[in-house]
Amino acid sequence: MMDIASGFMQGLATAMTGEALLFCLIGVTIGTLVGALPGIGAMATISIVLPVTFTLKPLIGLIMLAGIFYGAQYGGSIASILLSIPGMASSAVTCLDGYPMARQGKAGVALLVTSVSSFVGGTVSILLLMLLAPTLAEFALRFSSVEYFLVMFLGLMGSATISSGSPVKGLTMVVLGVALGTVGTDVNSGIFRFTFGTLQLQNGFGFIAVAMGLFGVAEILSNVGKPFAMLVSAKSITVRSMLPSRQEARACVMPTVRGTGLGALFGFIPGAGSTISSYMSYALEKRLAKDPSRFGQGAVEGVAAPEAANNAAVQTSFIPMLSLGIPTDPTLAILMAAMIVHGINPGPQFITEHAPVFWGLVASFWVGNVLLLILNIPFIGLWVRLLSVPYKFLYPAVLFFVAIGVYSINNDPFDVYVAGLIGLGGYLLVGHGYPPAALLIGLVIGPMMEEHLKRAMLMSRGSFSIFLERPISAVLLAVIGLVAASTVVRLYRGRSRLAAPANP
Amino acid sequence: MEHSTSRRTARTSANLREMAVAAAIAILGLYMVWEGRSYGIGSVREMGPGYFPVALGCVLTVLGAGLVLAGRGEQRQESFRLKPLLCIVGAMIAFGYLMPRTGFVPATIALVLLSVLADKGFRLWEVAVLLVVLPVLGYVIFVAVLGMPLDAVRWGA
Repeated sequence: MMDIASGFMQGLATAMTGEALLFCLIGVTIGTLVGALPGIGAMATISIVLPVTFTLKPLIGLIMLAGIFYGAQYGGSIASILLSIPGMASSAVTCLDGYPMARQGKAGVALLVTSVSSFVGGTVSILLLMLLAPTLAEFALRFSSVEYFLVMFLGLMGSATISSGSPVKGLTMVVLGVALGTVGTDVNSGIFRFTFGTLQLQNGFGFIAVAMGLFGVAEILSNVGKPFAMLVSAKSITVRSMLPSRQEARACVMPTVRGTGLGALFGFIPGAGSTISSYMSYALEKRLAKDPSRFGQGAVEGVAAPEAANNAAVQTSFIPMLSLGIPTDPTLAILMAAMIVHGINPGPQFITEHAPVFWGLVASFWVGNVLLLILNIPFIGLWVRLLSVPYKFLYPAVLFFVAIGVYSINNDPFDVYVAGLIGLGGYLLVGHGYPPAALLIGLVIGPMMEEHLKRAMLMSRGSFSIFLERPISAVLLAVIGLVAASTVVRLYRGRSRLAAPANP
Repeated sequence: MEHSTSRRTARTSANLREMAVAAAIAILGLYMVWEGRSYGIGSVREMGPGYFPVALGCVLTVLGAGLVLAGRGEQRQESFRLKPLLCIVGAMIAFGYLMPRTGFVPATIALVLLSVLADKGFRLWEVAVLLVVLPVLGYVIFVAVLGMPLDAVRWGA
């Protein structure tokens, strides 16, 4: 515990320096803006901003990028409340009660409630991150390839089955992602796999090009041409109008607490994340409410709980990434890429080897959340005005930023072609219910999995029983079995969870 | 209960598309098995470069076939319009093609022109605004501020 406390104090000192504060502010502001704007998300923005961070100190760059990531969760609800269009998938549930609240003239209240519950969710989860990540990392130092393979397998399985929709389609996307990951030069033998004679594919499909295509381009393809209507004018939102009544304020407390708990738990689980957390939190509140019929008509609980949940989830999702080096969200994979570029290798040794970076980053999360709370409340009018830009102006700009961002990775048109074509394929797949994030997780984790499997088999001399012989892996295997069994049961019952929009 | 025939045909073509997607996945799986074998499978103990691809290919084929047989699933796409698709993807390809050859101002112009074709609601002055603002903004952000080695305009090859 003493280590944690002293580490945190040092981290806080670093996070409060002028440079760190400035870039944290920049990051969370960009994040809020981007989260609020439908059609461009945290992931696209982080990819585009990534090259900027190469010239910054590693910690500062990470602070800014992370700020964009969790800042977006604050902004996502703004469009949900004002336009009934979610800025991000994890804010989609907020439309259900947020938009009715806006129509009743309580948009200000809804916006304040989401800011405060987001803050609560985020800060409690940071506490969990501080306590759990170092412990988990220490535990993971005992992992060998056998355990890593199973953890990654579990992660992929989670991504495939826990996200909404057909688990079979989710599994297909994961496998497709892993398959795309095999393209390139085989590490052990040096031969080229599936490169079709092109020079660029010898390095495999660029992760950012695929991510931009799948989420940036595909997103634009599905949104282009749709109408767009704005409900509230900037003038009607004053600080006064944002205060909730005493009854409403009291009604928010327990939903925020429950949402935080749920989000903190789900953020940690691979495959689950802010989106699932927000949905489950809403469903839970509706089930627990004395009068469930209020939900969908402007129930303030329906706004507080999911927003607490999605912010909580986004903070705890850093735990597997920082302690094990396994990203549970495609955006986190990009953050990991940023770390690798600076020579910081994620994995269990990260926290001990680069303690100042870890604690500086965690402390910046606190700082960032406070900044966001301060930013969101007075600047609501500004966000409202910004949202009134029609989509037809936004999407060419987004496409331009995506194109130039992708091109600038290698100054190679090939990456842009990849992004465009994957965007096309992605649009077709997403339109038929295939979850895109699952493909990206497969692409990132697949090659690592292959390595670990090869090594595990070398260790065991070709015997699969090694998975049962080692205690940790046996437990992991049991968990995998449980998840598989519950998925089969779910399939058999023919019940599917609340359908989710396919954009992050 | 009346369904207009156009709605029915739209639904059927959506079903066909969904099955085509699943079939494409299965075919990709078969290709992976076929090509993967040529890389050398090796043994379980010493996995060759082809081991993983072949295994993945098998799984993909099974999944793809299963999805084809399962037939109809969720239908998110109400309408499938080809033109916006081609415009946006075309815009990306044009940008990529033109960037090294002509510098980024012509590339951006091509991208903007092609992408606005995707949305019918554009007025001429709005397109003009985008054509001016985006290259300038791009230059300021990416070349001036971020210092990327991109030529604004390139004459010749």
